[in-house]
Amino acid sequence: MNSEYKKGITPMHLVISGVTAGVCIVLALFAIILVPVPGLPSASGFWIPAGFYFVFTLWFGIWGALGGHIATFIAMGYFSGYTLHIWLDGGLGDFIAPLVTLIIFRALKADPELKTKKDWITWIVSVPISSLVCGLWVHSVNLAFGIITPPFWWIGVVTYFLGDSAAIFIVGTPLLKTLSKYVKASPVYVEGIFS
Amino acid sequence: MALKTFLTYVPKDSKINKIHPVVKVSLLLSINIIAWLIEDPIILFLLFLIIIFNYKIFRIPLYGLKKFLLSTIIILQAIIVSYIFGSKIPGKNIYLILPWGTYVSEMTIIYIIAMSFRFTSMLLGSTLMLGTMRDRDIIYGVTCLHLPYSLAFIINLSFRNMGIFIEDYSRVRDAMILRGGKFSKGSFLEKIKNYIYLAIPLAILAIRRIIEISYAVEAKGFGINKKRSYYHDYSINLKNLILTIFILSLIPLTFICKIYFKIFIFPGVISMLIK
Amino acid sequence: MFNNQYDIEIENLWWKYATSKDWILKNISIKIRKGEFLGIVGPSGAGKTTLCLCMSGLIPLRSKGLMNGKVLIKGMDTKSISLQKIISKVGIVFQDPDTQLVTMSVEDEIAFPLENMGFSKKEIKERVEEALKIVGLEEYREKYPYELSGGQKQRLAIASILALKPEILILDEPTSDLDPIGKKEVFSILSKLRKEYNATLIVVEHNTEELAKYANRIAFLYNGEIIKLDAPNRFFKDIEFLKEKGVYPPQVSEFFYYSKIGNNENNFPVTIEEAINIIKKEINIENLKNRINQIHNKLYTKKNRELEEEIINVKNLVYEYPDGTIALKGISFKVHKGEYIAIVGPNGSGKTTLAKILVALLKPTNGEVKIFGEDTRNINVSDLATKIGYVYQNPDHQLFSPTVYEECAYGLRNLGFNEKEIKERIEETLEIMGLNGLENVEPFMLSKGQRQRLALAATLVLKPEVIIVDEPTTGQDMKQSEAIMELLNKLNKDGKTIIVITHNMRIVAEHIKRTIVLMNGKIILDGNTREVFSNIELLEEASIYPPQITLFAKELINKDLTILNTYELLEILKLNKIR
Repeated sequence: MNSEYKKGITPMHLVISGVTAGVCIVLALFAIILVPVPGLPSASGFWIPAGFYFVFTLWFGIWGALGGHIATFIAMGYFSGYTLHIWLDGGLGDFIAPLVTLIIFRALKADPELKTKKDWITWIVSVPISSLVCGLWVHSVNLAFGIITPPFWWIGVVTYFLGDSAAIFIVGTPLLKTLSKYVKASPVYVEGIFS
Repeated sequence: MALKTFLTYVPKDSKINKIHPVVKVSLLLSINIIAWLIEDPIILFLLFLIIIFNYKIFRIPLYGLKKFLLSTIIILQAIIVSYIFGSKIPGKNIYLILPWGTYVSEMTIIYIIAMSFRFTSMLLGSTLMLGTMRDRDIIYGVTCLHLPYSLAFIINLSFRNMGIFIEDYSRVRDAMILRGGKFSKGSFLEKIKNYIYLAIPLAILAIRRIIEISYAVEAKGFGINKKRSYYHDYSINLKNLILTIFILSLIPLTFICKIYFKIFIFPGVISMLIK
Repeated sequence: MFNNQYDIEIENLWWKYATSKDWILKNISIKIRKGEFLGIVGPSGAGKTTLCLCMSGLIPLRSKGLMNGKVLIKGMDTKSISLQKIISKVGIVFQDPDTQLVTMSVEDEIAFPLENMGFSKKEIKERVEEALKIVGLEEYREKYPYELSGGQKQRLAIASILALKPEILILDEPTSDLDPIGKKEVFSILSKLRKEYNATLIVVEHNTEELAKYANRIAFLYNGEIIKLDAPNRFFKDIEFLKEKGVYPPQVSEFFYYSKIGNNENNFPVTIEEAINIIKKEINIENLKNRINQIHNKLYTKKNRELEEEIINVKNLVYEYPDGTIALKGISFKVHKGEYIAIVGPNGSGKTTLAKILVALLKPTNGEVKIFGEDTRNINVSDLATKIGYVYQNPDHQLFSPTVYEECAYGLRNLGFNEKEIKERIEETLEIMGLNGLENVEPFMLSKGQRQRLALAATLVLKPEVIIVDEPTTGQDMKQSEAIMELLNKLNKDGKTIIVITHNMRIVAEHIKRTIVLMNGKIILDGNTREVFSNIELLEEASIYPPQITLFAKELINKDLTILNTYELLEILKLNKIR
């Protein structure tokens, strides 16, 4: 008989979030120290963890995104304090952004293995869209908290758009190409968004 | 004797250790939201002073905050630059008019000061609460709030895996260095290439760990019962419950004062002083 | 109909994962009695872990795949009951303790499964206390799990399962990742569980000497099938068969097999005590005293090969980590070209720190370390790549390229070799390592044994003069372990200096000429392996246990006699290899 393994959300999904968060926290701390951006607190000019949690989201669905969210909040908070602003700003921003890419991939039935032209186009187009959404979110939060003024909002959005996209493409593309096949063959791959 | 907490060391006999995690979390939320709502620079300054005073009362060493110094400077710099070059706050005296139409008045400077106090209050207030908890207290706090245990579990696991990941990272990086890989010297492209190579085994190790941990927790019945029991006592007594409700009620109270009674808005008390 | 004398009944079990082409388990049938201790042995990739998962119910309830046949746990078919019912009957402990500990304190870890199952607070408290007592961790209850030693962590993992009071406990290679102290701790708990609680135990192990002591029966899993199942005394009789299939028999069994002593059809010894009882009846040791002394003297005065040039000189080396831990407290020794050295010692004794200093990954806090005459403080790590190679225990920490070829080329390219030479070297090295034909395969798709060989290949391709290998045989089956040791032996014969860090005293005794023993950051013994193994009391202080044959010979003949392998003992007792 085919094994009646449990469908739906299982402890494995929670483990995915915990382990990916642990990985991304370290990467985030490292990125903040390595490439700080003058003028933007707890930010990094090359947000390495984005490359990871975008890929984790494509492999593990919302659970990868949750890992990225927790990681960003904990890492940014380590330098800037665990404030509501930091949670709404980087924390939630880095939860929403990879979900945008995930939704696009699942809607267009694109393969994270990046085998066909369609897969590549989906990847190349969805990443900048997600980075833009992240930039819009983060700097709207900064505006709402009074850190920046409207003229600087645009500067922040463009910085995020470029910085995040670069990190995701540079780090994420080789991870997807090299490991997606392996992950898809393993029990941890999440085909949908939740399970 | 000091207790090692998430961010610093706290004297074991400090009264802050007696505060229930739920009360701490509610204080954290209240301080952040109230600081966000308030725009009056004098009130924000008073809030800042109250928080600093509490550091003294609870004997939390201020040197534990030095890791936030750089970030605080960066935030303040961002505020200053943003408002100097990108705001139009009307005031009696205009000191600088910029070509693109924005200007600097005495109110701009007061607003910068207000925002600075806002952020330092949020930072210091959050650190006073969250930073004086041990990581296991954070987990207990989440559970006390009767949030789904899965959240506490995920946070738990992320703390555990940080250390394991750092070890993995060191080993892989050392292995690459032993074979001539360059991380500090060499061209930018070379360094990026090495970091990408590093990413692959780290991702694989993480994936294998996910599978192993999943089997291990399932073998311990995790996720089997919808309702789980608790070994520790996470109940809140009446005193703490009343305190929590009181602290959280300050949020809507502040909101009402600001919106309906126009208290806490900018420039607030300052305008009376200036008049 | 549930036959209540059997806790587990497996009937014609076939299993394959959704992603595997072939069946992993093939027609397995076995019945395990209540209170039995079943040992499971087999080479890597045989399906041992999969079988454990089937017996615990995690297959099929938590794994995608195809199953034929049935697994009954206390009469309940794992295909048709809930995991909740199974968990109260069967507990499973895995190899790596770090992946099993998920909470913030020792007592929380034990409480975790009880909370999951909804036990009352009172009951949780009682069971936590009981479990802590069984495994001897009462004084550590508030500690973070990561602060514990390897053995303590594994004891905690066992306690966490014991709290559920399962009648059946499955342990999948519980001691593979542990040092000798840790191994002893775990087996001591198992022995206690057996004696005091009459638990049914199923233990997968490569360490047959411990298994042989405790197991009622041993099952040999090979290529997904059980090819042998018997009591230890009968199981280990067919030594050649076991060795050919990749299982280390106990050394005393090996000795008796080759000596053909006595009528051992039904009473084949597997422990030192059994062996002593049998052999004393068959041989008069007194009559052999002169011969023994003669051969022993010959072994002790065997001329060592002359030492060549000095290549490593360590003088009063002290190393302190940033957190204040002093890992090395003033050690001194020299290494000459062509030497073959084992560095042994319990976890935390400073072995890995020493290895990292020798390859210049760490710089000495005090003292001096010279590699080929140069102070390591003045050397870059990458400059030493063609002089000293360091291979870790876990190959997954050393493989990072997209293909096998690229993995081997990585170091050579960094050092500026041209593509022609790179190709030649890689072809030669892959041939030696038995990896030719796999050039375009992704390293992480290889089997564990292949990954281990690839990690070694990626270092060997640089042709270093000194090779440091950390735990080369841990978690490996006998065949793989022997293959790695044969390779290291060959490299040493070809003039390479080999330094092996290991807990496996058997391979030290059988292959390695010089042994350095570290304890608490200091060298307590350094010399010819035979001389080092003569110091039993000092070794015991360092929790180093010489191989079984060494201890057997000491007990049988003379405690001053230090035998390193089975064949020496056969020679000494005039019992030459007959088969």
